[in-house]
Amino acid sequence: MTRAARLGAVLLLVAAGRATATDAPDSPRAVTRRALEQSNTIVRGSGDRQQKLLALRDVLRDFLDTEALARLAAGKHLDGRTPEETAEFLRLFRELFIRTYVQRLLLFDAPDFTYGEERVTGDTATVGTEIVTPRDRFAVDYTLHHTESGWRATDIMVEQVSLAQNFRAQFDTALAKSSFQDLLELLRKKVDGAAAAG
Amino acid sequence: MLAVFRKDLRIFVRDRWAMLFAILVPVLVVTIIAEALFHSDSGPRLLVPVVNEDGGPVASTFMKLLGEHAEVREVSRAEAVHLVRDVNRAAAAIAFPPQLSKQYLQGRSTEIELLTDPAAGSDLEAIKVLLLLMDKDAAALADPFSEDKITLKEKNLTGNRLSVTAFEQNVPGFSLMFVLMAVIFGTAMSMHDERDWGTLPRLLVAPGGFTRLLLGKFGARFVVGLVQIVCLFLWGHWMFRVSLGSSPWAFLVLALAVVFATVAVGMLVAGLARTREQTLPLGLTFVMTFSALGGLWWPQSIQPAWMSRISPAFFTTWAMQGLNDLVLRDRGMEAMAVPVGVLLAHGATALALGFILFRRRFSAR
Repeated sequence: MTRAARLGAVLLLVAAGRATATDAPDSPRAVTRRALEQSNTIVRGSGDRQQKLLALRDVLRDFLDTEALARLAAGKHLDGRTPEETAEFLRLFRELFIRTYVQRLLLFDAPDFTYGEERVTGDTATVGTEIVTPRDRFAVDYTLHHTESGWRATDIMVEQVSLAQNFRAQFDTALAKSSFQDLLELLRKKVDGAAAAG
Repeated sequence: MLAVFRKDLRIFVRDRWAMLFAILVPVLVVTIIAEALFHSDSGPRLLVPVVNEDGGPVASTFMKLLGEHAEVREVSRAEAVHLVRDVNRAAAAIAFPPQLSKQYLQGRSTEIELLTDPAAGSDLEAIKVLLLLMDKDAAALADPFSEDKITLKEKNLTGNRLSVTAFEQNVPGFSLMFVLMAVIFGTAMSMHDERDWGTLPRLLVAPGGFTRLLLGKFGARFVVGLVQIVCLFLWGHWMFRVSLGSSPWAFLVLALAVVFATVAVGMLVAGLARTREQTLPLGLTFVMTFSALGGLWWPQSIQPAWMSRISPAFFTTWAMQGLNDLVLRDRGMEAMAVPVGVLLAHGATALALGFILFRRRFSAR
């Protein structure tokens, strides 16, 4: 690491530390930080991949508002669906999204997170973070929404690409070729396959 | 009938060396084939050089996945090219491009470069299977439908084609084996024929002496062998579309060196065999052993490690290297220096030994 990069990293850590010190415990950044640090502890900790997956899923279930994410990703495709179909879609999406996100987190052996700015507009907030690896940095921004149970993430932007939009593009493509029932079947297969693969 | 039976048995038993060779040859050949094809020693792991221009978590994960099945070595692009193209140590190298991790995490597809040596045949197929496994594991990490996040771009480093035909992989080896058979037996038998026909003493007292006699015989067999190898490869080219490389001169130079070494080994067999009866099992031993260990029947990469270590001692290894460079890698004269040089050295050694043995055995008679 160059001297400038090292200095930059130190400054970021200091800024992050100061931010934590001044953050209210229930602020969007504090909530994000808590979830990521719990995740980090699990990723770095002992236990096999399956145990880590389960532990991370529990942490992220509280942090991610997968229902909001699912509705954002599905867009107009949920219009006119029966309550059973919608419930099934939300269940499958929650499983798949958490699993996808967790698997991506597990790609990083020992991730270091830095925390950037927090922007709050009414009930919505954005928290910028970075995953720092020895050779690169990966920008991950969280969009949060204030709910009755506190701040929860409704979208994740990885390197400026929204995961919800990414899912939506895939749903649009799939539904252009097949029915909603087919989409549910595909999601079921993927969830079952992922569960079997661990 | 009983008398004929006893006579034939007595003749067979009288030549103990012929009897010994007749028993040893099948044992030796079966052992070599069994060791090469069904050995328990897994041999050296498949080497997969990796150019990691990404340096991110996705490339690291892929390298870990590949490392479960192969020896993954992180190298620079220049070193990867050297390992695949120049020294043919690896059948292919994988280049993970910059931004692979970022694009993968964004859900965008990325092109991975596979720098190949199609002449490596089964090893290259094995690397492609490993990539399929890696892709399957990568798909498990992917979003619901975007499972085609990795696309493969193949680049041949050793020629112009991305694949070679099964004919091109097999015809040169088997053609060479038949040339070995014809030339080694022809050369060795003809030396003993002269003695059996009673013409050897007359030739030995003819002007010119023993060395010129042997050189004359060598020359005749050399021409016959050259015609055989050229005809066989022309047939393979016409019938099976087997490439003869980009340079006919390079092919001719290699053919000359291969036939020189083959006739020389025929001379050595003639010198080693005391009788005509010994020529057959001894010649077979040489043909089978040189074919098996030289990679004429199967790629040398499937052999156990000990076979790979000793195979450079057999001239057929160098003959096949030259042929593979011409036929499968489209190389020209510049690639012939090493195989032709080694073939000439092997040939000269075998010829000298054959001359010495034959002179000792027959010139005094």
